[in-house]
Amino acid sequence: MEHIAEGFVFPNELHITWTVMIVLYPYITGMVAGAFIVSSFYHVFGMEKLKSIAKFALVSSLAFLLFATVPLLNHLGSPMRAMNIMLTPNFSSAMSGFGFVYTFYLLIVVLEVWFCYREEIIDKYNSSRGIMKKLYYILTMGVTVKSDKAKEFDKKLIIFLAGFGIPVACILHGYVGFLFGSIKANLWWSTPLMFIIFIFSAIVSGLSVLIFLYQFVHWLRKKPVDQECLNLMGKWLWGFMIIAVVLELMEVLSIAYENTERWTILRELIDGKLLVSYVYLQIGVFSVIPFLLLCVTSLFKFDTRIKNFMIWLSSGMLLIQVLLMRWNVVIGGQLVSKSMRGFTEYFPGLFDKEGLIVSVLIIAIPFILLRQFDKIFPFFEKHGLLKKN
Amino acid sequence: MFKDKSHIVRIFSIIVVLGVIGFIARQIALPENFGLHGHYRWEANNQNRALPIINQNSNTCKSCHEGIYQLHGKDAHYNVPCVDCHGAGNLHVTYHKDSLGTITKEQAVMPREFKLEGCLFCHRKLKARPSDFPQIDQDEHYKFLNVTNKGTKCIECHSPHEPVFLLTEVKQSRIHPIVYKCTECHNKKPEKSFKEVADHPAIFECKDCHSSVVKSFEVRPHHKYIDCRTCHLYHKENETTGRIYKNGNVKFCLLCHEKKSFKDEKYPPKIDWPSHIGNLNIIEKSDEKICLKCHADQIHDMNQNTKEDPHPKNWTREHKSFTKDNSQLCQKCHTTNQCSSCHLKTKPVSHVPSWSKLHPESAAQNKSSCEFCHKQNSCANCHKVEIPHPKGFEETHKDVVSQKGKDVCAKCHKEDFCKQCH
Repeated sequence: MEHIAEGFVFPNELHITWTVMIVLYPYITGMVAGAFIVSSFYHVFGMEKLKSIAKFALVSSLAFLLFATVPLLNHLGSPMRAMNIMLTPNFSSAMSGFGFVYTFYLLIVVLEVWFCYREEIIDKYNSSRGIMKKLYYILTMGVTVKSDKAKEFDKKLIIFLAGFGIPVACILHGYVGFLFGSIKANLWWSTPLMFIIFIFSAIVSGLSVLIFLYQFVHWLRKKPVDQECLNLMGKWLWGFMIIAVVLELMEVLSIAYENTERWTILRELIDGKLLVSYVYLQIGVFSVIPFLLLCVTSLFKFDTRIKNFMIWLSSGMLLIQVLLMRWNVVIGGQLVSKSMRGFTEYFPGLFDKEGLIVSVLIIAIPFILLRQFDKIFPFFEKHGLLKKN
Repeated sequence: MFKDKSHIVRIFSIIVVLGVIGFIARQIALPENFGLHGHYRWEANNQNRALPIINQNSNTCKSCHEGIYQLHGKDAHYNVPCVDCHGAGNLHVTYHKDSLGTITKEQAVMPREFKLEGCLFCHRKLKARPSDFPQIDQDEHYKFLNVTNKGTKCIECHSPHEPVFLLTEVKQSRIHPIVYKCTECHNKKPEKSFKEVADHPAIFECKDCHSSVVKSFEVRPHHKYIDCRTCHLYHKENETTGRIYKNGNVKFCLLCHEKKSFKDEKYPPKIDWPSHIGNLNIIEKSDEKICLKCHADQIHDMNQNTKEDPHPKNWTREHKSFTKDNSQLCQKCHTTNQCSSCHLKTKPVSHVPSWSKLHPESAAQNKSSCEFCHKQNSCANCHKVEIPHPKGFEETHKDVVSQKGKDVCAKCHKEDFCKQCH
């Protein structure tokens, strides 16, 4: 691929090191954290309106979590060495810190999913035969009898795990933000606000993916949605997207007002290389339009079908907005030369090892996994979503 | 009560057991010498050292490709290793040296980095690159040469092994000083600032030392399109010195002036090569600077008589005392082995045993070359008479013979020499 440099660029800055894979890594991790926090709203804070989506949110979190490291493994190129950080942990490495947080968080999510689905697994055990029965037996841990008291214990543990999981989810994604924000040599990344921006954008992406899939699945199956749940999710999406976008813009405003030497080149970055992806698309189209749509759906009462479509459209647009945000942060930060006087160029190839087709595949796999999980343990039917509004 | 919690006990017990197994596995799997000298496995160093070498050293290539190696070492790419353009080369070497036939002919083919991007990786114009490093803006370069096909590869004009067709080997090229400090030219730091000296340049350019050549260049056609350093390539070696490559190679001229299918014919003037001169045999043995024989007047004055010598006229005699105190200043332009080209520690090869009989002819042709080693009066010391004989010696030689005897003459002249006249 041809690299076109503008201005003063050091020769070793011509090639972007952190590619589109490193864009996907915080994107998928963000959806993990966001979806988990949504599920915890029901389990910990008792928001009954979110009951319809709570399990789906939890399992979505697990599905994305299982594939959050795939872009990293593809990028680094030696997946067989992945477990070495456990074998020979280096606690002074900021990068390996993510591995430890990730593993701990995975344990919490797996436990919570197991407790949530324990009764369904027992039911499946009782109704299946052959190898599947043995498989379900292993999954029940040998306890194949249901009881009300056991259910109560499960509920308490779920609340504990969900409550404990919220700070861990924030740390998980905050840590991703910290990895970028702590690189003081990078003008576009270096800010202590980065991990807060990442957490809020994670919640936005988590809420968006849940709303998008929830409505899409119900539209596909021609089933009515839980309107109260959807309205609440829409309002929350509106609120969190406002915080996420405002925080990001305030950060830029702060740099602009300080007007230190870095602003000269960052202004050129925003006004040049990122004009389309950041100004026009991320802010202009995929932030402003969802904001206006969600304003209308949150503040006014009108036809439910139109309202639901507007929420669904907003969630889809916000999913793209967060992806664009990750792109503009990860790639944008590397386009600027450390000399503060030049830029390089990057766009992923189609068939590259870290190209667009591989990216689409990595994004698609968690959704395929969710579909398979849904076939065994349906997310929605058993939770009263079939009733008409 | 316990029965209702049994699944909880079991799942957490499994986690604890997995943790213990993991810990034991870690203790077993942890390499013995991990952490010995840091957060890494010490033995990995030896293992890496034992790996077969993939990237071949240029000397390996030399063992079979001596000709190309010599050519490559002569020109501007001399410090670019073969692997940079041709890849690792391990399969190629194995194929040609291994009789087992484990490598196929197809595998042994070496890549050749002939793509535009391959060259531009190093030669794309970047402000961050040192200014004396050869670099181009592709659009500007092609526009300058009127290249109509934008996809034209660099190798259409530049040979990767001999990119600028240098006349002199890079390592033997003349060292040219950068006037960096006052003491580059002055023996002591001057008391006055250069600003107080009339016509003293702030930054030295070519014209400040080579004014007559530059003046003649400014009235010739090339002046409109190129500057001094287009032909007299300069490579900065450190803060104060660099090497200058004086280039008049016919192939260098052809970089701009040869007709090519991808170039517009209008400008610069182009010729068919080698039909322009007849055939290549003309220049193979005679002169690589054949273009200059007819076209030197299109560039600048190249008459040897106008060559500007920075040294005073009596420098050959005077430089000895100067060199004692300023040897470093000499080395701004001259390599140390240039001294030995005149000041030989051993006799020159020309001084064969019969040299005493042969030397008159050489001395008559170029007496100054004798004076590199011999003092000016050394001829007279041996011959007891002024050599070569001054004008009017025919009239005065009678006195010399009567004073010093015929033996003085017999050193050079045969016995019957006198009889030719007397």
